[in-house]
Amino acid sequence: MNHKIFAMELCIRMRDEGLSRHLREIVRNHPRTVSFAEKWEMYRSVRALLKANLGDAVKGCWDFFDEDGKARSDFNMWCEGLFTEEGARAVPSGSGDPTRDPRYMTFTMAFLLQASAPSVETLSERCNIPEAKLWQRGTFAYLLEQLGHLNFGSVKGDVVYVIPGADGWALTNEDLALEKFHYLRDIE
Amino acid sequence: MSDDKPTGFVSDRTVDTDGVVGARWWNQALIEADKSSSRRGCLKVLGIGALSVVTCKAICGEVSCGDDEVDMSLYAFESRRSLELQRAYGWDFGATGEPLVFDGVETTPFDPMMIAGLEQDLSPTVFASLHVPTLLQSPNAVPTGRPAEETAPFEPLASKLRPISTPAMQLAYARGRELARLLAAATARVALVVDLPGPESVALAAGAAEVFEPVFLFDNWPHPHGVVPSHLVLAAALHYQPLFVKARAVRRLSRLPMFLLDRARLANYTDLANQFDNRYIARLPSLPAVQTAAQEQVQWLLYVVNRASDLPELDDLNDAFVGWQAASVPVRALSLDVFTSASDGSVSYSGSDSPLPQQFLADYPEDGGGGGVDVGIGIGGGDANPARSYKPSSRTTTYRSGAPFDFGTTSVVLAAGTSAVLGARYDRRGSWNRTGG
Repeated sequence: MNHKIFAMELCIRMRDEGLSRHLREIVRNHPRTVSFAEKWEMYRSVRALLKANLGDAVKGCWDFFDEDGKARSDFNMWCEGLFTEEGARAVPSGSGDPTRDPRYMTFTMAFLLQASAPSVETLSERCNIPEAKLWQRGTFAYLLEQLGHLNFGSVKGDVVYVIPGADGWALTNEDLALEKFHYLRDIE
Repeated sequence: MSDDKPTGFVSDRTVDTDGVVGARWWNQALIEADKSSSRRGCLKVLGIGALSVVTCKAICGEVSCGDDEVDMSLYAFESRRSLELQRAYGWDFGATGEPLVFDGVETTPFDPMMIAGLEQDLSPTVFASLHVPTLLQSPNAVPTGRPAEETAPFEPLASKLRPISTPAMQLAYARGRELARLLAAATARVALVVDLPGPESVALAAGAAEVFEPVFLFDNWPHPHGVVPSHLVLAAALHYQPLFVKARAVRRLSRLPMFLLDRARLANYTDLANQFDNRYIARLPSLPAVQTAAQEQVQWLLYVVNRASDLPELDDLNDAFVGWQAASVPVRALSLDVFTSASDGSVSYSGSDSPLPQQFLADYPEDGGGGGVDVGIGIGGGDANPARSYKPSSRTTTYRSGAPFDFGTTSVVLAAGTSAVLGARYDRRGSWNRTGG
């Protein structure tokens, strides 16, 4: 089986802890064993929340690669981001100040896809975004919408994670300035 | 297919710390498929034939290699309104690239750009509120999406259309002209309901359009596998489009409506696996709606069919006709076979060689009187115009409370996980129909 990969990460300025709590609950409540329908439903909720808060997204990135080796290695890389807690803080950051010391959360999702499956091919076509529009807010909204057409029968694996894992552990401006976050692009 | 084949996802790792919350899941079926594929690869290396299923089972301990089987657990099926599917996914939903079949030969030059103006040219003015624009909107409609398994680009219906002209249409046109002439000679305020094969309804309308304002009630879209060949209605409309435009100028503000229907709209069909159910029920307006649009009284209604055996009216019209009749607006019927054709192509009513409408008015008085007994229709033998004795009577039909269940619907295939529409159930190109053998 050949593979493709789609991944997206959004860094969202937090107005309060509500969004991160909500997303954490979705992930925590997603059972260990789930049907395709439950999986789709989980991502439907995620997509709705992200789209509703896209106006607060400051940075982000998304990938679609259709080369098998690249897809496998990138999926592992995204998984390692969770397992090593690479992006997470080691100590609390406190609640900060919304204007002078804002807090940020990230939401990450990656899908290892079955190449040549129809809905994957459709997604592939729809990810063919002109370079000038790659990091536009509208493009993220469009891609979130396209994920709704993904047939989870053709998704071999998925990984999803939310930073922070608890209130008071959100990311700061200093965190985002670290080299490990340089892959995140400013959203236009 | 084995019932215990794994489906869904299983998570193998979760992380829940103050810093991050997340998890990874794997699709069991695809993981199993990968394993099977690897084992088959091993067997090939060992020189064991791919068809040695028994050997494969023995070595692998597997239930089945199942290369050619379709895992139907990936799919869900449901019925959806055909027209909604076409609007969302394209007029040719499930049959992309398949041709429309046209009857009739068009010999006059055709400017494809005319299609762009078809809806505007054929939309009524006085009776605009009663017009059903559905069919006329189809040529230039663009879908909001495509089925997930559809890879071919969308081509608008307009690019597939061309005008047609058939002998039946030419005859209907001549009869329409004569009928309009006869009714214009009378001063009666008559509404027509024309219920002929679609192209003939359009042709008759073209002939009568200088007197009556055509009001399309064609409430479907064409499809390559359509039960109702409504692309022929559009093809006929294209043929007569210049005449409709010309007639509109002559007609000015006619307050006599001519409601057009395709008699195939309720057609029975049996080939569920290969036909697209684009049937529809007539949305004939109520009498008050017609009176309001006309801004004056309609005295009677004339139901036009090809032959007396086409009576009584089709089931979806019964309630409306009975309602008009109950409101003291007589509903009469005319079968077009009472018009006789001369060698020069002209037609006359019931063999009359007089240009005067006396014979017609004797059968169809201006007040709409003269209807016979309730029709079963036990039309009297030997009567040259048996339809004139028609009178609607209430009967129980399957359309009394709207379209029956599954009428005008199409079975679609959904992705089990996402409910995204993959395609039409009957589409042989779909992965759900790619069974082995």
